[in-house]
Amino acid sequence: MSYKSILKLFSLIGSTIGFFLFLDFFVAVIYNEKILNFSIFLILFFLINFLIWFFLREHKLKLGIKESILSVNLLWIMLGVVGAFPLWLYTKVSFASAFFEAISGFTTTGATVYTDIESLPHFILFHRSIMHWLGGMGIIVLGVGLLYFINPTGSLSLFKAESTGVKLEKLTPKIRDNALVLWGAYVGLTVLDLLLLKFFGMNWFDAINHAFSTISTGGFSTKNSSLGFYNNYGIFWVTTVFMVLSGVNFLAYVRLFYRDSSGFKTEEFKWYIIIFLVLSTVLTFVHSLNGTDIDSSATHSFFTIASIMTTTGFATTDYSLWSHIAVGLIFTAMLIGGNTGSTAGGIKIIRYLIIFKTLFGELKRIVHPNAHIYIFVDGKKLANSVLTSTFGFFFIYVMTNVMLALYIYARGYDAMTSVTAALALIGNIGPGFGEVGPANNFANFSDIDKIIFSLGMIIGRLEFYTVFVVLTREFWKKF
Amino acid sequence: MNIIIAGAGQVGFNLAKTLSRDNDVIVIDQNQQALAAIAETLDILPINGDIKNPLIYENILEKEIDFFLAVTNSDEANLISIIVAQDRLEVKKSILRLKNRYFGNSSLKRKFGIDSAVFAIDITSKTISNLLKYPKANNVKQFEYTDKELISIKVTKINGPVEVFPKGYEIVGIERNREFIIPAKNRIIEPGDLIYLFGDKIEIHHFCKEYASDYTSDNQNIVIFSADEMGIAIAKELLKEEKDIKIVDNDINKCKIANERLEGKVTILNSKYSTIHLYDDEGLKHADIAIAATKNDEYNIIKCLEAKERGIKKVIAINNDLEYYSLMHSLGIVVVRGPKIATVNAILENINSDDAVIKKIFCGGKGQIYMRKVYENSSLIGIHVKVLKYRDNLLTFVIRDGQIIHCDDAMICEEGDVIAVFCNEENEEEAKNWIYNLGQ
Repeated sequence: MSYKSILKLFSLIGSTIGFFLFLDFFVAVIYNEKILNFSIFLILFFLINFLIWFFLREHKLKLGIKESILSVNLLWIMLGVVGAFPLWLYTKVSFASAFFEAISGFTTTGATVYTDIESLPHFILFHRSIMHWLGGMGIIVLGVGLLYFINPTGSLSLFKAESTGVKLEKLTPKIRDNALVLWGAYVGLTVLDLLLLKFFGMNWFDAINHAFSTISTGGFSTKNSSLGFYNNYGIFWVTTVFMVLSGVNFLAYVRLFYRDSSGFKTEEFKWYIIIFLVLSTVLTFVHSLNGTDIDSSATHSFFTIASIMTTTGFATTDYSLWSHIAVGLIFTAMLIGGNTGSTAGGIKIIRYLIIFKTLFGELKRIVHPNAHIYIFVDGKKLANSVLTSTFGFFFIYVMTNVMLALYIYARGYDAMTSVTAALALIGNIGPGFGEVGPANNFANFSDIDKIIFSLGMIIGRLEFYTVFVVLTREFWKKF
Repeated sequence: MNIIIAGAGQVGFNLAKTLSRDNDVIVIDQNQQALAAIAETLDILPINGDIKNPLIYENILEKEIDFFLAVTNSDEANLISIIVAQDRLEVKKSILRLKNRYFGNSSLKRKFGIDSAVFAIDITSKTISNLLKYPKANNVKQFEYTDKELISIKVTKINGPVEVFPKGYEIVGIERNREFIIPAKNRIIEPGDLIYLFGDKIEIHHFCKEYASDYTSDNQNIVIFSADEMGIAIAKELLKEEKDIKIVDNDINKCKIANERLEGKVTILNSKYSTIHLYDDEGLKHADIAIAATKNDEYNIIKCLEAKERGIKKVIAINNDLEYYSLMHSLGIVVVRGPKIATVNAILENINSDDAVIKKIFCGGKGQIYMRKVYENSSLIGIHVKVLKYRDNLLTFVIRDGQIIHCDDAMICEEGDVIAVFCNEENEEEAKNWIYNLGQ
């Protein structure tokens, strides 16, 4: 294990993060907020990274598979620590709470420990949003794209360790170019969203923050009542559309740029849209049974399903107060997730497709014992390793959720809170039901709970295998 | 550069491994597993599909392709793929791996739009033929622009370190304990070193006599283990030198085919039940050289060791898998690149060469040579050229009037000059840029 390479990578990625944290500094200057402590922190952070880089400048950065996996894990913990400092320095929360908030930001979970968000300084609000935005597409993806000296082989395994979905999908031969085009699409969607939010009446500051939150499918808002504050159908529908768009594989947009619409013809995309439309339409119908007019019902229902299914976590209203059937539908959306290669978390449509196709294949095998049955997705035969890893993922997802839910239950919370909090944290959704519903937050949990929840969010963001492999004996064995 | 490699076999993998460092490489193959194995370790874009299928090329975003390399095992697939690729993409240069010489030499080459064809079996058999001219050489390379040769010799005749004062040749590489260097000043050689000499044949002969034992041994009687395509090609090449050849193979059908193709000019022995007794019964122990030329490196190593043990002084193994290269060397076996590795090297040399500059690879790719000739109407004639700093692992020479001249500061180019840079992998980019941009 080359710890020097890991340290050098840390200093490089740390500097990249530091560069983006400078934007907080500018926001503080614009709004005339006190920034002395933050400035000292930024200088120290840069200095440490620079010194590490300086002492290791001659060391050739070379990352094997193990170094890459360990780096990605440690890097996400480092992100939490770095992201927590401004929160800890400027808001009256413990470091564990600040760490939870930072991890919730970077993992695009959107769960918060703040009860009065509107009282926070502007640069802290912006800091929360920028954490979402950086974490959405991935820190490594950003690092690999920007830092040309990360060696190709190392960056390949780094990229894999951080990427989500059943396998690494590329559009260009070089992983670096791939990272850059992904970030290009990401920036493009963000700008489009913020312009439309501004057009529909948000001020620039809120538009930027909400655009960051929407495209990263994060969920942090600058308002206590989330997007419900605006009570503006234009804003609701723009956000609904962009949340759905953010749940699509970003490579589809890059392909579209090259006049290739095949990214929107995949089975995963079709099922994503079908599930979204069916759940939203049924929820609209169910919600309207309470006497709500159809316009309002459709707006809130489509928004809520988009928000939960894409694991964003925005709310326009306290949907936990809707009927039991409505809660059931929203709970179903919590289990689904977006497309592979998107910023959305959760299990993801592709895995359900593979699991259902395999199950139907097994049923067919019972009827036709001599038949050769293969699993095809988009006309391509799936390798056995993909099937095994998908079923493995599903099992590990369920088990991790069960463990976390049992922990929360053991801490004295009700079953609904325990189950949905686990799903909301590990699926990087944000709000659940019960005591962690859209109108509540995670402030009341103890510091130890928050540390455990933070680890749960990281495990969910890195899709289990990257984290759990580090805990195996095989990982540390030299032979 | 944008490069498409059609075929994810051993040749495709090794090409992708080298080329993906600095280029955008796309690898196409029908074999999902082979493709996944490449994509797992290399930064390339894998495309799963038939290289003959036009639809495969439609998904490629970058339509301008600098090199299309068709390197599957099938001539037909390679030929069709180039036609299809040229129809769907803008292919600037195509290089094909071929077995059938007819496709590469007839007018079909032009009709198919092939820029270069690599006949790997020919390269390997010619290398062996060249090797026999230098009984102790491990490798011999010739160049288009000069009659100087690059020859590698294993130093065996000395007991301790000796300083060499080259005359008429230059030491352009030393492989010692698996480490390779191109020495600028320190020319001390040690027993067991593999020395790469560039220069005049006769002077190199003198060096060989002095430092390599049994240098003058005969090489008339040759036994080849393998009656397949490679063995036949080697025999054909050696027949031109009027050598006495025996071919040994345990497959009776291969023996029959070889006998027909070699028109009975070679004694073919079938070793179905045992090879050992053939050393006495068929006089194989009196052979001067044994060549193990199967596709299986382990088998080649065993045959070479067996031949050595039976008293054959020089044993040559065809190396198909680079992982066995060092082991073969360390066992005292002369190693000749097999067809697949030779294809990779030939294609890499071709990609980095053009009308002005040629590239050659030696020591398994650890050493690189760039050569440029100053032609009659060259703009380089009479101009001052600043030379790269003369240092370890980067040597620049000018070959003028048959003399090798060191360049360590500046030089004035003359008509007929051949400028040569020897470098290792680390200095390759610098050397390449310098020689391509001379006089600019």
